Amino acid sequence: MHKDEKLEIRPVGTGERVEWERLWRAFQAVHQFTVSDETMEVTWRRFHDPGEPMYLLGGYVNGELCGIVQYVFHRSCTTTGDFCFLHNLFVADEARGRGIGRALIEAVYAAAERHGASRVLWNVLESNTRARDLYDKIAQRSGFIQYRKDLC
Amino acid sequence: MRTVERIAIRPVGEGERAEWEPLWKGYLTFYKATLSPEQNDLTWARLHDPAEPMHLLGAYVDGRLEGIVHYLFHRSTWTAGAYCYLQDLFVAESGRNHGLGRALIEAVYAQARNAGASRVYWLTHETNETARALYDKVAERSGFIQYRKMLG
Repeated sequence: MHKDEKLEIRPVGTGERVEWERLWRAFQAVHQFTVSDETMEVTWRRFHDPGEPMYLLGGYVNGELCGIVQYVFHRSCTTTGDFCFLHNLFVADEARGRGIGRALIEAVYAAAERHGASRVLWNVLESNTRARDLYDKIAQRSGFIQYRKDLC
Repeated sequence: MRTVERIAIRPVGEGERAEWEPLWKGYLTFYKATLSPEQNDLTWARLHDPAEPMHLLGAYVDGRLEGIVHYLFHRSTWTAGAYCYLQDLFVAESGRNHGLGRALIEAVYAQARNAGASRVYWLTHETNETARALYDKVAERSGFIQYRKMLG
């Protein structure tokens, strides 16, 4: 963080949809995937529905939303507490190198601790060495790889 | 290979705990994990609690339980439908090479489709070549690797 900059991590409010959508769409572009407008609407509502285990935090530099993290809690067969699945993390290109990604992940750790979760998990493309440089510092590579089947 | 008359996939009933537990322990032993008796009680209870999104199917060879799969549903930010996380899959030594693993996975696909899930996914250790030979046939390796942070 530069000397005159202040970083704040907090939930992204219901009035900040435009700012969130800009980052969420940029994230999708990086992953070459497009979420439909309808699904974005559903997801946005779920983030702000206290009955849903889905959460959204923003990284703000001098009040401007520069990064987001989206996470969900779910059951596990091996632990009493839930798993916290850190679903998506994104920091705007122009805001990189300020520790926003790390601060967002650490905020998820804190939220997961408060929730009573047993662990925080996430997946990253093996080829994403830039992200993995950070992850190797603050988490552990489990040695597990993902398989999936998309259903139509 | 022994002669097998009939393979059936169905939910493991509440009265079959004694048959389930050795398979569950076999799975945990493979991953060098042990769970407390209390944790096993809780997991078993959740797998049979209709209010929990956790499910259990068994593979029966001539009426005898020789394979299990545990799966659960959770929210996703990518899709309106849930993700189905296939958390644990295990086939007893005696039941190997009869297609039980594949049949269990395909049964989870069917259940996930019925539930409106958009994807089934799981994680396997990268060194587990036997399992991966099957997974490469029935699913797609996503290229994602897992990171985790243990809490508590």
